Amino acid sequence: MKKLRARFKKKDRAKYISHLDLYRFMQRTFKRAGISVWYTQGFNPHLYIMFPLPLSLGYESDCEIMDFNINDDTLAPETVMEKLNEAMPAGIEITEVYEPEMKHTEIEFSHYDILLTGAPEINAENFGRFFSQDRIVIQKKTKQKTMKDVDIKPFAEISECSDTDRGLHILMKMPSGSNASYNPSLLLGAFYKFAGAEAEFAYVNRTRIVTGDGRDFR
Amino acid sequence: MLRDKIEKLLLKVQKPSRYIGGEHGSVMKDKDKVDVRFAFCFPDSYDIGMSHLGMKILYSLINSRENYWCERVFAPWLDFEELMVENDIPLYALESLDPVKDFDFIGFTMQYELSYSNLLNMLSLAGVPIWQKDRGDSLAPIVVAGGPCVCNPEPFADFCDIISLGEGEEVTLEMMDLYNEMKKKGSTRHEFLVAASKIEGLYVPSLYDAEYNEDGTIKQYVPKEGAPAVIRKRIIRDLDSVFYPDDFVVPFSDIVHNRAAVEVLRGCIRGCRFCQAGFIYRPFREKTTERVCSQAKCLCENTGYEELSLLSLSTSDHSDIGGIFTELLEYTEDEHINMSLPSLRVDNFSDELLEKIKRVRTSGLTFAPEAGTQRLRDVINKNVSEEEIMSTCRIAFEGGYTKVKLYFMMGLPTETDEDIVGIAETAQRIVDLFYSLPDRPKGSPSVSISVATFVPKPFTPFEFEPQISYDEIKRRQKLLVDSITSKKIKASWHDPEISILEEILAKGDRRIAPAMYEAWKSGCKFDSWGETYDFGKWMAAFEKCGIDVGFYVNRERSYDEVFPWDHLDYFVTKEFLARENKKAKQNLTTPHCRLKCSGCGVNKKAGGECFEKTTCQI
Ligand code: SF4
Repeated sequence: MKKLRARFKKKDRAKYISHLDLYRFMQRTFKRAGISVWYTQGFNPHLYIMFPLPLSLGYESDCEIMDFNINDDTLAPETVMEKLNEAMPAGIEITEVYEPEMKHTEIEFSHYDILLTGAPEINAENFGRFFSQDRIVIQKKTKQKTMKDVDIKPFAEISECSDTDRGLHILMKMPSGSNASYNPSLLLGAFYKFAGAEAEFAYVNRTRIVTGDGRDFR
Repeated sequence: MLRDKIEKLLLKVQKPSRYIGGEHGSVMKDKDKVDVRFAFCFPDSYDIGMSHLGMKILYSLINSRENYWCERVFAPWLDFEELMVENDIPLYALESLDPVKDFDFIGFTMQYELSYSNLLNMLSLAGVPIWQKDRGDSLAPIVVAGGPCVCNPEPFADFCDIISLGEGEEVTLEMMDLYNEMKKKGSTRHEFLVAASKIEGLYVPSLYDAEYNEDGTIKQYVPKEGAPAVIRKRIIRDLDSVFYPDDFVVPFSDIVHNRAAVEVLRGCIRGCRFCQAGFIYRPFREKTTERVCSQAKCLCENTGYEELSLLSLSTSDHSDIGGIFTELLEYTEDEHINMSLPSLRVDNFSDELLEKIKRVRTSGLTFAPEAGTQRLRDVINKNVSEEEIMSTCRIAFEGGYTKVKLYFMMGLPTETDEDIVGIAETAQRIVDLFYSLPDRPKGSPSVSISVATFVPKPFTPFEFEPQISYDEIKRRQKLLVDSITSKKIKASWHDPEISILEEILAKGDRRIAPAMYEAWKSGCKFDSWGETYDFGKWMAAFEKCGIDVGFYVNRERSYDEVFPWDHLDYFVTKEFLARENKKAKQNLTTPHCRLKCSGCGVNKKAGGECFEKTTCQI
């Protein structure tokens, strides 16, 4: 048995595969690819596949992570990648398969590339005013399923915000670790309220998953 | 672009992945390089339609031709439909995301009566005129319907250009080839339809005038422009060599039956008199063990499914079912695939095989005695004896199961109160059996009985029979409840009103169509779903159109009455059905086809005996 980690893109029509459905999807892909993967032992054996970081439904990503174990130690990671990609439908593409170098707990942040379209109020100037407020309070579900107020301002980092001919373009970094995790939609929702208008469509693409000191998670 | 409009709405609806395609196995082609485009519509939700085998077969078959492109279309669920209408998104196909109205063919598969209103709704969402007569003379789109319900297509015939009778593997391509030829010549819709009516298996309703007698029954159907007086269904003679998909579209989300499935046989030898499928799919034909197993393995490998099932009307009637199971159980165990097993007759299995089957069977045991007494089971020719029910339950209990589910019907011809009480008594005997077993499992047994109201269907020996009245169904239901004394027995049933609707839609004629249109206009759709089903609206529509529901539902028909489906030839003769009807009334059974041919007429039309050893009685 060998532990492996894959990084994959989730784009196009595949962005509507929910996190819950992703497990089954990958299970079938492994089968189609003819790669023998490790099953948990016991009364009800199931395939071990692990996604450390969920992606919201409708978001695209360049860098999703999947952990799994293969039974054949001699199989090269590159071969696993090739076989999986041959069995993938359009929209999902494995970009790298390697032996894990870090623990899941080292994940701290995600970078997002965002395009908001279709509403004149959704522009760089408004976003600038919005983000220069001292506090940006949003409601967040707690683990006990109640709602609580959180000031999200200190968590969000905006490295770019500009008007383009397709809409407002934003580059954002948000915590997505085990201690704190915030979905960009929370900030966008607060912005829509501030601007008094909603983007017709929000294209969100996760571009990087990084550690506390800014290295790519591997 | 339509796609952008769709994507803008997807995150607002439940299970968006069912509206955007892109699954493994979905076929993409360059639309500029194909000659004929076929939109295959299932008139229900994605979750139901994607579970359906017939659609998978025709989808792969059409797409195996380079110059034809078949795409999938399902009825959008209510939340998405509302948004589509609000945002001017027409019904579109899942592969290209192009509007359905731009296709050459719009095909519907009619699987159950309660999906008829969705046919109208989907045509409307597509922006295609609902009535065939309003479609003008441009060739496309041609609306074609197939599936089991088209054995009486009359209630929806006026909405269709073509009805395809019987099995579609050959005739679909013949129809498309003809179309392709005539499209190049610049033919009109009418010219194409007249030519299509000459292809065996294709029924063009607009080429027939229905004439009625004064008492409201049918006088005759008069064909026009050279259309045949009787239209024959199509069958595939050799099931072993007919096209079968080597891959399925694998949905992203979970649907009703999300699994690899192999059809093992067609037709049924049993001849249960209430069962339409048992007659319209005759003759019985099976695939060889070799073929079933190789198709199963191939599908599992190509789809990656973790579940496999064998499909047919009665899988245990395959002449080598033991051989099939032995091979496939071994394969699936090695590959971590679950094999879901149909309800089986246990008599012809070895202990070793039974052991294996027990190991993989996860759910409880289901059984369909259909009637509560042996007398009534003889009437319906359901060849299940009390001993068989009990011995199967005993095996199940001893194998550790505590749950048994039994299916019955109520309102069968000749049914008396004794038969109703018999349902409760059968269930009680199963409970008693449980407690009588020394090595029964821990816990207490649970016997659930599900009772459906009988819906007499065309092309069965009971096509002449009325459905019992609503009040009578209610009375018998109460009688059943009062007859159940044990808390271990739970009874449930479908709303009998639904059965009334099913009956009028199953046995109606063309005069039903305006009422169906009215019902749809007043909001009827997804009639098999509690969210939208509205019996009151349907009845109001019948009343508004002057339709006497009782005439269709509660009237006994004579053997010589002309039926709305009599001009369609499903190979089984009406004389045979009448003969079976008479035998039923005398509590006489008919042996199954392997034991003895009963002369239903199928062999003559299919060209050859159904089984080598049997000989025809007549
Ligand atoms: S012809 Fe005879 S054997 Fe064939 S289906 Fe009819 S009754 Fe059965």
